[in-house]
Amino acid sequence: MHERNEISVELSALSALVSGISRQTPYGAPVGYFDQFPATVMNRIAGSSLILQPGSSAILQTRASAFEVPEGYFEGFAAQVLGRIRAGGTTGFEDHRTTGSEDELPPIFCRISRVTPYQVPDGYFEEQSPLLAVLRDKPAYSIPEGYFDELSPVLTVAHDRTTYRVPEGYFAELAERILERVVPNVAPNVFRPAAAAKVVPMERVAAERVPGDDRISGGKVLKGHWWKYSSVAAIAACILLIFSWPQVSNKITVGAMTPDVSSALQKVTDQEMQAYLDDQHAILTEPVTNTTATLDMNEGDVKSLLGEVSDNDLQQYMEEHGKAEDLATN
Amino acid sequence: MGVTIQDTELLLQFRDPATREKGFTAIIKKYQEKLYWHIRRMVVEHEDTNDVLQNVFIRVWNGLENFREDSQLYTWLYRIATNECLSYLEQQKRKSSASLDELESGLSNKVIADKYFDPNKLEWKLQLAIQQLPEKQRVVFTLRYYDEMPYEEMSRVLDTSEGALKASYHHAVKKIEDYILNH
Repeated sequence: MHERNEISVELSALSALVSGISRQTPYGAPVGYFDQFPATVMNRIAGSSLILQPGSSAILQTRASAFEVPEGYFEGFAAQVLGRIRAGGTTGFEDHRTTGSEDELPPIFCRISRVTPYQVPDGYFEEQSPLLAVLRDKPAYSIPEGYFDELSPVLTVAHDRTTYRVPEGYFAELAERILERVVPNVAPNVFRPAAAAKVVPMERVAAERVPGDDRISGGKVLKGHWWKYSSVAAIAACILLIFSWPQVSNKITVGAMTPDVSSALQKVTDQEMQAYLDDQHAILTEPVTNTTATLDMNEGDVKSLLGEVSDNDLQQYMEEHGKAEDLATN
Repeated sequence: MGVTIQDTELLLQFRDPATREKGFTAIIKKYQEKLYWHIRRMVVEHEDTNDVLQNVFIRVWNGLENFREDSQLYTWLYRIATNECLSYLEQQKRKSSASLDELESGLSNKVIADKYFDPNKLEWKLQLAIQQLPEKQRVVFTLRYYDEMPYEEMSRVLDTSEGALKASYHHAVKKIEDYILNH
């Protein structure tokens, strides 16, 4: 009651016109419709129809007769509906095949045969479809002959081609490079000459050091002026010979010993000799820190030796073989 | 809000296999008219209403075993009936490949075709006006106007918020008023 009043007040506020209209639906229902409706529904659930029974609503009969129905449709209709309901398992009807109680079913089921009316051609299940027989013997996919034995043309070509390239002469010089790197006394900033891939008597490959890169790239080839470098090398050899001459001369005289020396050596015991040799060995194994020699040479001597060698060439030669300040130049 | 005492008894009868049909018949008798008129206002024709109503109770028969009783049985039945109506109208639309406007005019024609139709009577104009509304707005109006359903219960039937239902109802009343005034 409270809700009705509330709805009336709400409708009046929205539209006085609509609120003034009768709420009775003007449509009409067939006479006796609601009396029969529950049975109609239960029959539909149970699988038997009352629509076509005499005495039912004329409207319902008219509606049912408006269309043609296959012969025997309604005789099997109950079974169809019941089967659908049983498939859902919610009808509450017990399956008479499991309970064995056929008395619970409507009588109409007694007239329905349980034999499936459909027929199957003779030998249908023994013989396979011709199409299936053909397909069974025929593989779905065919593979070209030798497909797995031969590589694709791309792979065949690529197989013989090396992907990566090695600089020419790399492996020949590899051992030398490794030894150079492991020699402990080499200064880090000393430029090492680039290893020539081949002997070029008239040209020389100069090393170029790329900033930030420890590798030595092939430098430019200096053509000409070979004799300058040869003269510089000869001068350096002379200097070294002059420095080492006293030691060499001593070594030569050692071979032709005087009798006094030989008799004196015979008086030296083996232990003394061994001690002497051990001392010499210790001296010889000491790291050589300075191999350069100083020369007493005046400027005139140097000028005469290096007269035709330019400063740039000398500078470059010294950078390759040692510090420039070790030798006197102009 | 759960089921009423009488509904509880009906449900107990239904759930007992020995009295299932008796209980279900009782449920049909109790709610058939309400659901019938609710459906009839949506689909107009009796034959269509009959089909939809039977489908509704078939669904009730299949689903009543799992009814959780968290709402009234009446609310649950109305929900099924509304969904069946909307499904039926959608099916009609697809069958005839008709647009929504064409379907609405078809329903209006069905109203006019009723043998008791009287264009001078406001209640018939109201029916014509109702058929001009969108389907869901039509449902909201008929539930509120004819069935006097509270918004709270309507929200459970239609699974829509009360605010949206109020707005829909207000718009429906305005549209109906405009239609009646202009026709």
